Formats: sequence, structure tokens, C-alpha cells
Amino acid sequence: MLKKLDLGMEWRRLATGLCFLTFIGGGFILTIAILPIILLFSSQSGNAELRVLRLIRLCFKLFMQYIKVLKPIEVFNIKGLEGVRCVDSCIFIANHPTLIDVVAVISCLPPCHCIVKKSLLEHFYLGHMMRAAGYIANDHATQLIQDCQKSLQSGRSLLIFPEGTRSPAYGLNPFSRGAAQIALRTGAPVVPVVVTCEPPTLLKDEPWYAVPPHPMTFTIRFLPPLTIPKAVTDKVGMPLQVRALTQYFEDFFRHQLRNIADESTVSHPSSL
Amino acid sequence: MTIITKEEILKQVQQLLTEAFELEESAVTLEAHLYRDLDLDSFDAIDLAVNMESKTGIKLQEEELKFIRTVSDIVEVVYPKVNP
Repeated sequence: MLKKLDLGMEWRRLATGLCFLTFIGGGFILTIAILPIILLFSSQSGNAELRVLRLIRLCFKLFMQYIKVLKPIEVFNIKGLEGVRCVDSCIFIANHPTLIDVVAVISCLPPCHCIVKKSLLEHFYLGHMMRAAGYIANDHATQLIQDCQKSLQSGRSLLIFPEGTRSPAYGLNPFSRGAAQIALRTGAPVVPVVVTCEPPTLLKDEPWYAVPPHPMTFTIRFLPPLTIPKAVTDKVGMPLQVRALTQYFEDFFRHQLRNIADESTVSHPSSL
Repeated sequence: MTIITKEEILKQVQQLLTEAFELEESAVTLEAHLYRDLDLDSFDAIDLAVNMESKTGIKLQEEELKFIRTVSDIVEVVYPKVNP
């Protein structure tokens, strides 16, 4: 029994490594071969950005299929996606428990712009794709809002990870205020995306081969758009509203994660 | 013409900061770093400039905002503006 379990774990380790290699190799081919072709053929029409966004989404969809075949992660659940289809352009805010959630979330959604660190946009490897896709740098306030407004007006949604980095196991980092700034200043609806992975894997500062001993279940929950509470809008001045809304977002996610943890202990009491 | 001292400007700046960001007055010292110590961000800096303009009529340019890091920087930028 024990031996069989170990074999499963070794397979997950190998599959994780293969997925990483594929991602890195695929990214390389896309950047040096496909991206220049798109840019060349879109120079007249000016729709390079949408094409790159679609390419990213297509590749991420394929990558998710690849993951489902190799099974470094045993089960993928996606919940609430029907609700997202009724929302026009909006701001998706997501927690970030594993490396794979960016890929998984983007593969589910219509082409959308991610808000990323400026250093990531300038990344020697991934930066080219992200810049061509029109991803938005989070460094400068006025520019950020202008870029976000432009995206939303053109019908594109935004994807933000307010923690700014990978979440700790079963928890959250403090939310940065960017998501609340954008929400309050653009008035776009905010759709929470709660991502869980049980047991936790691919954490920050953890090597890729440190796979957990049990098969993983990865779940994305798209929840209904949030209503900004009156307690937030009652505050005087944008800075205080932004702080209150950020706290509200963070509390909302903590509450959701706690509920999910409680439910799973109720439905699988043996895992206690 | 009376000269407005740096102490007076500091008082005003302290009041602006404590009101707009619900900060403790004791935290808003001359040396306090806006981003590190007072947890402001680039949006807040713009809001602060807007607040200052509407309450005192003093305008901060975007270039000046980029240079401002501490409370004392604000006082230094404002001082020549109110004492031309």
C-alpha cells in the first residue's frame, strides 16, 4: 500500500517537471516564432493585442488539457463560470495559492488583461508576450487607471491578484490596495475568484519537485459580483474608501477560504 | 509681508495627512517616509496633492510629487511656494 502511494507521488513529481519543461519550452517557441509572425501580420490592422490575448488563452487551454492527461494534479473543478458569462467587462480578483492558477483562470475566461508587476513586464523571457498582450503594469497610479479604463471601455476584463505574490498555504497575504483603487475609480463590477488547492502545492519558495504525498484537487470558484458596502462609500475621501474596500475584499476572501475548509472537513471527516 | 514658517507648514501638512488617511498625529513626523512609514501609495500622493490644492490653494506638480518621499520633503517643496 505504502509503496503504491509513493509511486503515485513519484509520478506527480515527474509530471510536474514535464509540465514545467513544456511551459518553458512552449513559451520560448511562442516568443521567438509565433509572436513575431502575429506582430508582422497585424501591423496593418492593429489588432495584434487581441490576437496575442487569444493565443495566450488558446495555449493555456491546451496546457490545461495537457495537465489533465499527465495528472500532476488529480482533479480540476471549475465552479460558477456560467455566472461570469452574464457579466460584461469586470475586474476579476483572485487569490494565488499555486503557480498554476494564473494559467487555469485565464484559460476559463474571455481574453482579459492581467495587472502585473512592472518587473514582470520587463522580464527577459515572459515580458515580450505580456507586453504584446497589453498587460498592464501596476507601477504608476495615473497611468494604471488610464490603462485600466481603456481596457474596460474596449470590453476587456481585468485580472488582478491583490496579494501581489503567491499566497501562503491555506492563507492569504495582505491585499494591496490596487484592486480597490481600480474598482472605485472605474466603477467596474468586481468578481471574486477563489482558488484552492488541496493539499497545497507549488508554493512560493518551495522547489517544484516538493510535491505533496496525496493527490491534489484544484478548484476555481467564480463568485457573483461583489456589491461595494455602504460602510465603504460612507467614508470621506478616496484614500479612506480605498482602505476600507481593500479590507472588505481581504475579509471576503478569508471568509470564503474558511468556509471551504470547513465544508471539506464536514464532507471528508476522515481527513481530519 | 509675513513669512510663513516651516513649522506652520508642517502643522498644515500634518492636519491634511491625519484627516485624509486617518493617521495618528504622532506618526506624522518630519522624518516619516510617506510610503514606508505612513503606508501611502502613488494614488494617495495624488489624492494628497488634490486635497492640498482644494484646502490651501497650493499646487503640487507631478514632477514634485515624484521627488517627495518624506513629510519634510513636502514642507520643503511648499515653503518657497508660500513665501515667494
